[in-house]
Amino acid sequence: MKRRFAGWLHSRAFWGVASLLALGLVFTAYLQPGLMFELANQVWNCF
Amino acid sequence: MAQVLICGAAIVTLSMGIRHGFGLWLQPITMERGWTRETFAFALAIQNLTWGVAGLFVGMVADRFGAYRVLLAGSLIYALGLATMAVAATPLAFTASAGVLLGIAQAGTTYAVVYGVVGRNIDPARRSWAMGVTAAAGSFGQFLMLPVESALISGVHWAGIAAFAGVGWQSALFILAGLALLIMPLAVGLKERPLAASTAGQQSIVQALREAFGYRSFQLLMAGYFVCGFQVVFIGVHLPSYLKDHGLTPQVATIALALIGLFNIFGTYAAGSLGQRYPKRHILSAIYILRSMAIVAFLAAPLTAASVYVFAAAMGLLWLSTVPPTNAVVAQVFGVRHFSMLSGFIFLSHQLGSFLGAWLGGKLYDATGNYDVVWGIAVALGVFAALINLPVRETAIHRPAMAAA
Repeated sequence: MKRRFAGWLHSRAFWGVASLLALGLVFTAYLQPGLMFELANQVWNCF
Repeated sequence: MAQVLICGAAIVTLSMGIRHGFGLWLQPITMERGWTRETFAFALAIQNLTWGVAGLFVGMVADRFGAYRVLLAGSLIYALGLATMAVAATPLAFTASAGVLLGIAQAGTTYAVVYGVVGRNIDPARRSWAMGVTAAAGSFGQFLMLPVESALISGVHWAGIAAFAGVGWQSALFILAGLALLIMPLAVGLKERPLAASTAGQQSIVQALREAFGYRSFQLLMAGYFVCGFQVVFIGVHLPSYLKDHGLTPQVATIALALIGLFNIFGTYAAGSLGQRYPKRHILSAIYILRSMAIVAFLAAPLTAASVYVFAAAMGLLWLSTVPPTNAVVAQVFGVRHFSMLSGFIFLSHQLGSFLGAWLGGKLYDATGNYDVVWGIAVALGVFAALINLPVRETAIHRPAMAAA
């Protein structure tokens, strides 16, 4: 389990996809700020 | 190397990101305090000039005593500036906090200081790439923090920060002050061994300045960076108004600014990486001439939302992409001993261009009723910068006296 996780962390594809998702999320925040606030609140409430 | 890059990138992400959204505070602060927009704009103009001037002295201190202490002080001043900006009740207090304190803080936590550590700790063969990574982080910070700050101002009512909910822009500034303090632990990753002891017999500050200012390539780089500041700030400040004048919706301007921010990340990284393989003077020339071509194409084509998006993406790629090659040439030519100080001088030139881009844009608009003249100046300056970067010499400067010593 630990090794598999370490494999992800060293995978360029994983970091590439994660970066694109993060950039896409920020870009969406420019277009639909309300949606992003709602999403942020939903995620926060999970804790 | 990884530690320097990760901590340096994170610091620049925070320091460049926090300041990028300052325009969002214009409306809430001026409305609540009953000030004019000029009061707010004046404080930000002072901030930019202070950033440029303080950069010279902060660079000297960072070169002499190490970036770590400068970053600690910069982080504290950043937090103090944001907190006092939140409570400043008079225009003078606001200018002292948002203008002077934050200007000093930015000088102490951004490129010149961080690049000094990167330059000294990363192999010269990978220096341009490393500067590209750090600059891309700053670009990411700018892209990220605008919507984050917008959310904070509108009062996101997260349970964990309920104490701040409803307070609005003031609580947002206190939260940002907390974020600025995160620079302190990150600065530990940039701690270097004392520099002064190991550099006996090397250039003094005065010698380094005399050498740089007497060297034609340094003067050319300064002139080029002036143009960069002029173009970037003119477009950043006046593009939304230009689009509004031509009947485009605010949504188009928002998407344009988002595209500039997004493509800026790729552009700065690419410019740093390309600097490893191609002469940096050619990269700089290409960036400046491409900016002029993009502006000409934008003005010549029919103005639609699509043409704005294409222009924004193109300008985003060319936005801060001058930062890594310009700084890499300075490090390559003059070495890294006085790099932060020399980088500070180059940056002062950039800030003077920024000031002129913002001010002249408004002044000529008021005088002529449109932006045509300023667009023309931006194009001409781009061609000028492309030409003057071509003869820049990138080889390390020969110092016979130092070598003999």
